[in-house]
Amino acid sequence: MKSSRENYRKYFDSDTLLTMVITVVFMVSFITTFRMEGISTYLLPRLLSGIGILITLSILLVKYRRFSKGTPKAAQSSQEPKSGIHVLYTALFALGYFLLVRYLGFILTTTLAIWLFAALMRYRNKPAVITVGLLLPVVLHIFFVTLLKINLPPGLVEAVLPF
Amino acid sequence: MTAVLSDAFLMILTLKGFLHLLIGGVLGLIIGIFPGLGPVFGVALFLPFTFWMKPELGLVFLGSLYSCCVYGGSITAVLLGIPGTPGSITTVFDGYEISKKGKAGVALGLSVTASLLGGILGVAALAFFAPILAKFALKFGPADYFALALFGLSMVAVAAKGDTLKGLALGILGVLISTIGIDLITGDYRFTFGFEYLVGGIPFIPVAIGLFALSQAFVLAEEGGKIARPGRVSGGVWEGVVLVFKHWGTTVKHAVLGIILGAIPGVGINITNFLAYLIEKRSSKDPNSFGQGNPLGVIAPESANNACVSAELIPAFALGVPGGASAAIFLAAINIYGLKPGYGFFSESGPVAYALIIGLFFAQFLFFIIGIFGANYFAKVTLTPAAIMVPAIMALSLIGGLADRTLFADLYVVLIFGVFGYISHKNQYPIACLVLGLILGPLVEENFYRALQIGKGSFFYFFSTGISISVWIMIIIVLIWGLLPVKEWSRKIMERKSAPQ
Repeated sequence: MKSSRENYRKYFDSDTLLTMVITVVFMVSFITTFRMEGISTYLLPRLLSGIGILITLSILLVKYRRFSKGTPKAAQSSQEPKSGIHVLYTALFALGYFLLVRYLGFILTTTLAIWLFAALMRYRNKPAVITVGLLLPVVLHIFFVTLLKINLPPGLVEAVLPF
Repeated sequence: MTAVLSDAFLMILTLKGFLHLLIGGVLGLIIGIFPGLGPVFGVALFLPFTFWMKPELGLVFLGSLYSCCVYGGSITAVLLGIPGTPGSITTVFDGYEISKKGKAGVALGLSVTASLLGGILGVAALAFFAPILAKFALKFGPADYFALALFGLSMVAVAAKGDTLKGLALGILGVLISTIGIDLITGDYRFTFGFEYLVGGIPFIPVAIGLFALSQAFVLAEEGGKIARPGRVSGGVWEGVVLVFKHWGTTVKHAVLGIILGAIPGVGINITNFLAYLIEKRSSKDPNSFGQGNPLGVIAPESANNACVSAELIPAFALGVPGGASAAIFLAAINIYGLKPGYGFFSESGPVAYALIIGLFFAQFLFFIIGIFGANYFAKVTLTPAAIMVPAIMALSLIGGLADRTLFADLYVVLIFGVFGYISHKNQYPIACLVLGLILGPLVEENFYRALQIGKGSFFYFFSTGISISVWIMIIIVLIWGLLPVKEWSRKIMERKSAPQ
């Protein structure tokens, strides 16, 4: 049971999975071109998708051959993340931040994001975190919204600010 | 020409021009000092904020940020033994050794002066060669441009860190992504899958921010902690400055090397830095002193990589074919400002083009002054913990993602490409190729169909001119070099030859 799981991990590491995802993207685009009309619409995308499929399949084939030969290069071919779950949390954190900013406004969401992330990372210097959390969003707001006139989502805090 | 230059000077020599130069330079230094955040991160992140600036000021801001960022990496390389950017890796070998002997000031003087001189020669090369190359490009037809764009892509795929096949796959994916949206010839929708958002195509800015900025936030979150301990400047800075002028021949030699390598698409700062160091070490009478604190081990890579910075922009501005990710972002900037690369960039919008070149020239002096007087303070940036840097990068990515169109859907593009960039980075997929494909996509498509129209549907037209045939031959050579184990074969042949009979 354990060896089959190890085999699975060996053959389907993140490098292989990424290559497979890119292959699927090329395949989907290749198939989609057959629903297009007009040679200028489909010719180049079809050519590109076709070449892309050939290249990604070659990558997989080369990798498979290395695995079956057991060459050391295969084992080192991908640099596995130290903690994949950490990155997943960060990506979810970024998604939450991007979603919330629409409703709470830039300053409040960014302040909360800094405090929450520091807590999640177990960063202990509380005075620094509180100060940065309060100051950084306001400084960014003044620089980008007031000076550069960039539209950022307003919220409760922005309504109170005089600038 | 004189009128164009005086117009360009008038554009820059204002308080606004100076402020753009200064702010860009300071931001560049901070980004360059922070390990992991390189010049591509900087120009990608700050590109959307330049849309509100006048083109010349926006380009000066980006140019200053780019130049200072490349130098910024050397400050931590010298003071802390940590290269801020991959372009300053070899500076650590001797620069940090000099610092460890209590002469950090000398090492800093060496790196900043060599960077200044290399940078000035690089800017001179950009000013001199780019207009000449652009004039020559007037002879190019669609088949030539098509071949040239493919050459740029294949060079970057071969030269980029990682697998050549992976680079090619990402380059093609980039061109394919650029075809999403309305087909400009027939007006038909392509790959929109019923999403209204995709009708306008995938916007470049959120993709670049995701790939180069947000992905770094994931890397920092993974690594955690803080980057370094504080460093101190000790010893005479001016001693280092004088040493560079004593070895002026080495400085100029490696600046020329940097210019040549920088102008070749795909080579870039990282390779130039290593090559300069290795060439200097090999040609030295005392190669064993390298890695022990030899000043030439700092002068050679620093002069080369800063000369390379401006030289990288030569093919981008003259031909519209960027040599790397940073140049691709500069090309995106000039497209967004409504300017066109090529001969027109230097003739019709000459003052803007020369304003950028003058801005790059002044940026060299800016980092020289800041490097000499403020390196101690800037090095403290490395003490910022990841727990604060990560949300700060997220906030800047959010602002950058919204800056162009204030569309929240763009933030999802930032996030998707951020995750994709992180996974690609971890698996040796060179993401620069994707960006290059994305930026070259319209050039590839336009010239592909124009060539087919002129050739009346015949693919032979792609090989009909002398230029296109030469470029195709170069593409084949580059791909053979990248895909076949040529180096291994030549090593085996050499071994066989040197083996006793």
